[in-house]
Amino acid sequence: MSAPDRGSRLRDFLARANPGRAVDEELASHIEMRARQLREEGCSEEAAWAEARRRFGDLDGVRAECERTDRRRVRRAWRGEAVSAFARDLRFAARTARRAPGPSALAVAAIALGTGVGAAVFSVANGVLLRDLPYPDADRLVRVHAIDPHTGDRFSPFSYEDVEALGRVEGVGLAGYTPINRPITGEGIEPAEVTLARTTDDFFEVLATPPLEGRAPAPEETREGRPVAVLGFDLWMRLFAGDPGALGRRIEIAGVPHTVIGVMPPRFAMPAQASLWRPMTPEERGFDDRELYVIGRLQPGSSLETVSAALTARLEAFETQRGVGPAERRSAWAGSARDALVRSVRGPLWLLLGAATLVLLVACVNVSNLLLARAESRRDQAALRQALGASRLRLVWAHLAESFLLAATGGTLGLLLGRVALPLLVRVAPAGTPRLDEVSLDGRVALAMTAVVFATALLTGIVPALRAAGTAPASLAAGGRRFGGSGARLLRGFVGAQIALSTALAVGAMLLGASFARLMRFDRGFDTNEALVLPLAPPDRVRSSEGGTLGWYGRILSEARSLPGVRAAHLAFRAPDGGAGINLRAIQPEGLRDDPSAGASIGAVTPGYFEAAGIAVLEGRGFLDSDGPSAAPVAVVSRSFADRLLPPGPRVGARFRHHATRDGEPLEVTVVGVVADILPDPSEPPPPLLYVPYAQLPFGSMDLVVRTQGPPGAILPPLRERIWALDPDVPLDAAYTLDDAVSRSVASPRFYMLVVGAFAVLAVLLAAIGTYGVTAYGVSQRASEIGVRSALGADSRRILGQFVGQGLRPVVIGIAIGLGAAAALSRTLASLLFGVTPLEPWVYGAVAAGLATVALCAVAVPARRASRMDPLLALRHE
Amino acid sequence: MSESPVRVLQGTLELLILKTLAWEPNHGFGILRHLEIVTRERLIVEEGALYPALHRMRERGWIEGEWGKTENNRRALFYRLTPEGRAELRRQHAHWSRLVEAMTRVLEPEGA
Repeated sequence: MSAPDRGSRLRDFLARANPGRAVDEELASHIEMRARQLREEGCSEEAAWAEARRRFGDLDGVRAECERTDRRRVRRAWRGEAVSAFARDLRFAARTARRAPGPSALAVAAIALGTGVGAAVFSVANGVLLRDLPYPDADRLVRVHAIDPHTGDRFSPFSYEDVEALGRVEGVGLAGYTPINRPITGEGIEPAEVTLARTTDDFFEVLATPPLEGRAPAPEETREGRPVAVLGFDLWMRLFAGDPGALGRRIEIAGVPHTVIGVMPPRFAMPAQASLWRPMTPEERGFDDRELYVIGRLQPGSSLETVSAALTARLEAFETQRGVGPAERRSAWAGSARDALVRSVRGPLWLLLGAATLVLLVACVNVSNLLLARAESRRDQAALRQALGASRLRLVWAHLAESFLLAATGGTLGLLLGRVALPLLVRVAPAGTPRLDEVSLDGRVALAMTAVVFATALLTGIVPALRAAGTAPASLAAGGRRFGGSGARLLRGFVGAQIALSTALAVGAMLLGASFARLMRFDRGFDTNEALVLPLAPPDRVRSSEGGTLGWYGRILSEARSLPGVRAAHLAFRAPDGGAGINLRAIQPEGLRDDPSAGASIGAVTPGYFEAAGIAVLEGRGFLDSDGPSAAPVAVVSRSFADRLLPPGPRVGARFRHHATRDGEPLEVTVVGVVADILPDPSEPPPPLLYVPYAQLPFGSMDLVVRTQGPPGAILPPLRERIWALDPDVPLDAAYTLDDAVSRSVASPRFYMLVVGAFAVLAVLLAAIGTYGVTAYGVSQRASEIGVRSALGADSRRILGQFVGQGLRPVVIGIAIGLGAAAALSRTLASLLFGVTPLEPWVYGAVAAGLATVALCAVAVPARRASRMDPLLALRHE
Repeated sequence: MSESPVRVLQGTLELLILKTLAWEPNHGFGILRHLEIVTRERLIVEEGALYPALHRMRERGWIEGEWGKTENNRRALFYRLTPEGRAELRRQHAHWSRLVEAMTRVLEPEGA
């Protein structure tokens, strides 16, 4: 008998994989040895074999039993071994991490930041983009749109007749609704301006959500358009403080009495801003104004494709029947209701998710950096373990355990961080973002982040682990610890990668920041300072009262003007931030150039409005008090209106006709002035506007625009009191300041700028730490060399220069790559940018300069330390 | 050697294997041969029982197997006692002694 042979380990390994073969070999060797014994006792070769077999007996049975036992044993052993080996590795990793608390804490912090940012952003994306809408079987809810052949608009709404015709399509149940703002009044209720949805039949059936209190309108109530109202949860709370006694109460919607029959649960929001639902009246059904948005519920067995095809066929047949030409016919399509709801935020949210991923990647590279540096300094240890017989697999695994430990710790902290960051993120998100109230850190987010943490561990650990395990035992003898070669190259590569990633992110942030700055400096063409806007709508009874609406508005105006602190008060339809009035076509103009694509609007204002609103009068005059109801009809046009729609010739004095008169007879109007354009939406061209004196063409609802002395908010309470003293039924809750309106309109760009900016700062910080770490590590590894050189009289400035130069090389390459990547990716930002192109050269230049400066600082600190190293100390360092 | 050989008592095979391996690591045939020689072939150990017992004991962790070469340069699986196996041997040996003592008291009462 001899010692176990050298191939034994391998064979043992193979035997694990195939226990049957090992048993075969064992039993075969037994029979052979028995035969040999028998031969030695004098049997013939043949007889010996036969006897050996005979004595063994049931060979197959024994083999089967042994195999079964072995399989069981191997299975258990594998399990136990893996668990105990991993536990051992984890303990070892924990010890290693504790021995270098600074870098370990840094790595954990980097991962925590990366995953925390990721968890918060992914929670938002999950709640807004991915989670089902809060309705039963929400995955079957669809939204149906028409494609308008004129404008190419793929999301155009329908008329009531369209909805009726489409409703007969099989495979889908449809309902339409149209939102409108209306004042709500009633006994014991503070008047409120609310968005209500007028609904067609089956609206509540399609959404399939049972009311929280009371009931939904019955089929005959919807069909006949009875005056019943279903309240949204928030409005119920606001008006009735959640009192179930609200059911059966009478409220007036724009003066029309309605009975409250039900309350919907919270989050029932179709459309998003609606807080009250009532059936469409028969009169409203008669309008052919294509204002109905259509939702539907797919029936089992039908798909979006089949339903879209059927809807298009039905719509085309319907339009053919009505004599619509082939080129004019619309087609219809059905898409996911959720996607339609979040359409506006999908792009930006993916962008934020991408930015968060970049931060996480930078964090990962940073940790990789650290682990690699640590692995490099432990190469002799790895080589020793390998020399002692540890397999490479085991070594890789042992190193991975370290990154798993760091990633798991960092990831757990990151999830906690995400929990903290999420409410902040939601709070700074623009108010109009759909489904923001549904955002939470749920199981799906936690699961996704766990996966991310494991990926992080692999990503950060695999390169260092492979390097450490790849060290040949021979390198031990060679004297080991030298910073240089492929390890140093890898470290520098990591620095380059970090810098590249954060450069790309910084360019994105800079672009958004520059765009936001432009937006803030943008001249909208009107003065937003110290201006309060109160949208007003006279109750119905006013029309038949003495003086009519004109008198009613006149009284409000004089009350407002007499209030101390008010510099000027005017009526306008609409206030300048609202931009357009109503479509010019509504007054059927004649004698203007025909340019329907101009999208011109008409609005009414009181005399002196332009001066008070800060809208410059360019030619002629604004309105005067003398432009009264019985004076000659006059108009003022905006510059773009004058350019595009007035007939050639002098603008002031130009004449045209319109039909907005009581008897329908055309009325000739003279243009008396041209004013500057207003640009309520900076990303849109200015709307061509036609202004008429309010006294000559009164609109029902007007905005009261008050210019104040001092903060406009202070004037609201006394103003409210005075108006309510005149008429207690006016809702005044929609008041706002023009400054607020403007900052609301830039809320989204501000949000994206802030978030991406914060991410970029994080990424740059992490990259700087990484760069610093690698340089500092290089210095420490070469301490003895530096010592020798300075002992031999090398110039400390040369040493400094050398380390700075070496440290900056990957930085420069990283910046170049990052700028290139940013240039390629920034196109995705184009839709979010205002007044800045995605390739704005100065942005790229500034980012490159900024990152180079940061990196220079990160490199210079350790390099300076190297150049000042005391030669004696440095030599002792070894 | 006129007496006819007896079969191994049920439950004692493990003890015999443990005791054999306590001398030195050995392969299956070696264990068998050892028992045959020591008992002068009066005890019959069947291969059909030996190998399943060996594998069972290996599963329980009393013995470990390792491939090695015999003196004839034949590859064979050598079994070796583990510390657990040594403890088991002591336990089973003590148990056996008590059993034999008890049996003897019944079958050959003192002073009979």
